[in-house]
Parts: sequence; C-alpha cells; structure tokens
Amino acid sequence: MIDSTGSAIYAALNGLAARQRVIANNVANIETPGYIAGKVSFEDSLRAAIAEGDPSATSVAKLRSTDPVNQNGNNVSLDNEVVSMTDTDLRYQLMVQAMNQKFGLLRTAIGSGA
Amino acid sequence: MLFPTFQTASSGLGVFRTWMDAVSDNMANLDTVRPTSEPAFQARFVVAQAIGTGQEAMTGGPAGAEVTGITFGDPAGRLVSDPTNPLADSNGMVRYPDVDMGDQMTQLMIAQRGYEANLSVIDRAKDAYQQALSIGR
Repeated sequence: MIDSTGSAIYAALNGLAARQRVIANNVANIETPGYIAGKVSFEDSLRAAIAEGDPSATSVAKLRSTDPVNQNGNNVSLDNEVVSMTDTDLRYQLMVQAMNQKFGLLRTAIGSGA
Repeated sequence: MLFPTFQTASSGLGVFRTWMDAVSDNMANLDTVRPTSEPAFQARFVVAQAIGTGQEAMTGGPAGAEVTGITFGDPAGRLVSDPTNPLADSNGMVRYPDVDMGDQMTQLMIAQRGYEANLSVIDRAKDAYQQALSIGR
C-alpha cells in the first residue's frame, strides 16, 4: 500500500471483511446443533501496529464466543449478530470513504491542482 | 470465491429451505392412515452441521451450514380405533403417524426465521460488496 494511512485503512477493511464473513457463517449456523459462534478481533492488533508504524503487520484473529450455549449446544444469538452486522457494515462504509478520500488527495496531487 | 459471504448465506438458506420442505411434507401427512400391517408415515427430521471448522470463514474459505442427512420418525406411529375405516384390521385398528402439529408448527417458525435471517445477511453483504467496488472510482 501507498503509505501508512493507506495501509491502516486497508488493514481495517481487511479485518471488517473477515468479521462480516464470520457473522454470515454464524447466521447460517443459527440452528446447527453444537455450533459455537465465532468472533473476529483485529482492533487491538491494528492499534498496536499503527503505534509501531507498520499497520500492515495487523493480525486478524478468530475467537470462539464464550456465551452460554442453549439446549442443542449452540450459542449463536441472532440479535447480537444483527447488531454486529450493522455495525460492521457502517464501519466498512466509513473505511471505504476514507480510502476514497485518500485516493482523492492523490488524484489532486497528480493533477497538480488542475 | 469472489463473494464468499453470499456462498455462506445461501448455504444457510438451503438448510432452512430443506427444513421447511420436510415440515410441509410432515404436515401434509398428519392424517395419513395406514393399515396396521404397514409402518406408519414417518416424519422427516433434517440433520444439519457446520461446514468446516469456522476458521475458514474468516479467510473466505468454505463456510456455512449443510444438510448431512435425514432421520425418520417412529414407524410404529400410534394405533387408533376406527372400525369403519376400510383399512382397519380385524380389531378395528388403523395406524396414524406420530406427528405432532404443534411441534411441526414450531419447527416451521424456527426454519422460517432462520431463512429470513440469512436473506438479510445477503442483503447487507450486497451493500458492502457494492461499497468495496466503488473504491477508487
């Protein structure tokens, strides 16, 4: 990626996309017996990576939900997933806008302000 | 896969649709009478499990849910006295399936809600993918 800003935005997009896929997997398995919901964590790693000056070192980790399971051994909660899905979607849009702004700056520079 | 979230959500749709199909078949045969010499209509139960370990979901590999089989209800059903039924045996008994309407309706509702949930995931994923395609435009 171009520079550390671009690479930080890229890392965030990456993590959010992974989270969206894991949420889709959770919803697909909402009634699957014994299924444990997955959660994606990357924010802490991104924060540390930005502090280190190399956002591309961000690691995206998948964790198992520790929520209590119900009778069939499943612990997916639809309301949590929907809230998380909305949140992830909006953050993703925000990051896309940030990336476009970034490219806009580049475009301005390339066009010498014309 | 180009758009893995669609694949995942549609696998969920498939599971819940199969479940709804099974329920509708069970409901349609709620009052299917058989002679006592034959097994009763057996309700269908859909068996589903997760695809992969869940780890693949993060990287866009195979994920979602799949139907791995069908189990059947009790072939003994329940014996009912109905001497006027042409299928009745010498004791006037016939065999009804052991299908409970309340249970089937509950399953239908769960399956329907699950189907809707997966549909809304597809909807959201479409928005996100469209956003991603607009990067740099």
